[in-house]
Amino acid sequence: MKFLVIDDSPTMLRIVANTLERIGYTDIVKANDGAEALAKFDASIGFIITAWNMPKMNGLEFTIALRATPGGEFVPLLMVTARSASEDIARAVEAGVSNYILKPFTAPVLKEKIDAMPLSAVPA
Amino acid sequence: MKATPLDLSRADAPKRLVDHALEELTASGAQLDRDARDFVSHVCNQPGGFDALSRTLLRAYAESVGIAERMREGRTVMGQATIEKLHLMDGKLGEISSATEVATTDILNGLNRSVELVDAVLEDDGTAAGRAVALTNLRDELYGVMEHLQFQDITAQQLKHMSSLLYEIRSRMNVLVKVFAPYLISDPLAPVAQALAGTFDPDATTANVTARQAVADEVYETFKVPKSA
Repeated sequence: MKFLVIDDSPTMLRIVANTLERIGYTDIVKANDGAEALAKFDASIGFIITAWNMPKMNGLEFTIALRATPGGEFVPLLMVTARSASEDIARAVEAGVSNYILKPFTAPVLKEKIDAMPLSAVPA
Repeated sequence: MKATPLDLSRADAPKRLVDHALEELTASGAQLDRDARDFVSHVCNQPGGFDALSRTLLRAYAESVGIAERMREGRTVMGQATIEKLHLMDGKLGEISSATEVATTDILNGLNRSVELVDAVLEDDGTAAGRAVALTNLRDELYGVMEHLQFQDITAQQLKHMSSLLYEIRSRMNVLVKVFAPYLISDPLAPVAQALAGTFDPDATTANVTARQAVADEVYETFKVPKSA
């Protein structure tokens, strides 16, 4: 399965990619913000992991744009963010994320969220 | 009976003091008279003379009230800009320092365990299976070290928040400077706030992540249920 990982922090991009490799996923495409991710998104992408706070297009805007894109409606999308306020989580659910992980995360938590998600997950 | 000789110097002392005071009063009165004469002369020489004096005094009064009002505004601006924001920044700096310390300690612990595992592999004269277990453990430790490096992302967001607070303080200080000394402002502020907007979470933290994730999971399920029901 091919992953699309989106974060403006080069450190976080590497850490998410390394963690995915640790739990067995090696096919990874990286993007620095939502706009770049939308440009890189195609039918080969099976799972998306995005940060929230990013310049140009943030993770929330990206999620809304992706869900409005043909082929992007049902791709599993995991939001990985430092935002833990209830209203933020509500906004993320409303935008169409499939699950929510707080930074800093661990490999077991990431694996648990990926495993719990049907690969053809309908957004919440 | 013999009369006591009169101490003339002591008896004259009060009189001399009174005389001195009278001289001083006269002198200062004369000075006041001179000042008053000079002032009257000055006023008479001005266009409008005494007629303009009341207007001048009213203008001076209005200016004084305006200055006092601006000083009050300045005090409010300074109060908002400094005390509250500086307290917040102080707290953030403490949090950053603590997060850095905790992450560094965790990384060092992971590296120490990694070194011990390498030593164990080097000294091991046992089975290949035992060596494979040790190497797997070593890989897990190294991945763990990478996970701890996420503190960099969190502290970067906390520093961006501080940067935005500093920008806000500087903006407020500029408002104050514009009131009292506008000529001191030469360059407009760089659009720092605009550049930082949306790139950080003001509440980003490395603390209690397990408990916060559990709460986030509960909240997520709460919001998800009505839509899928």
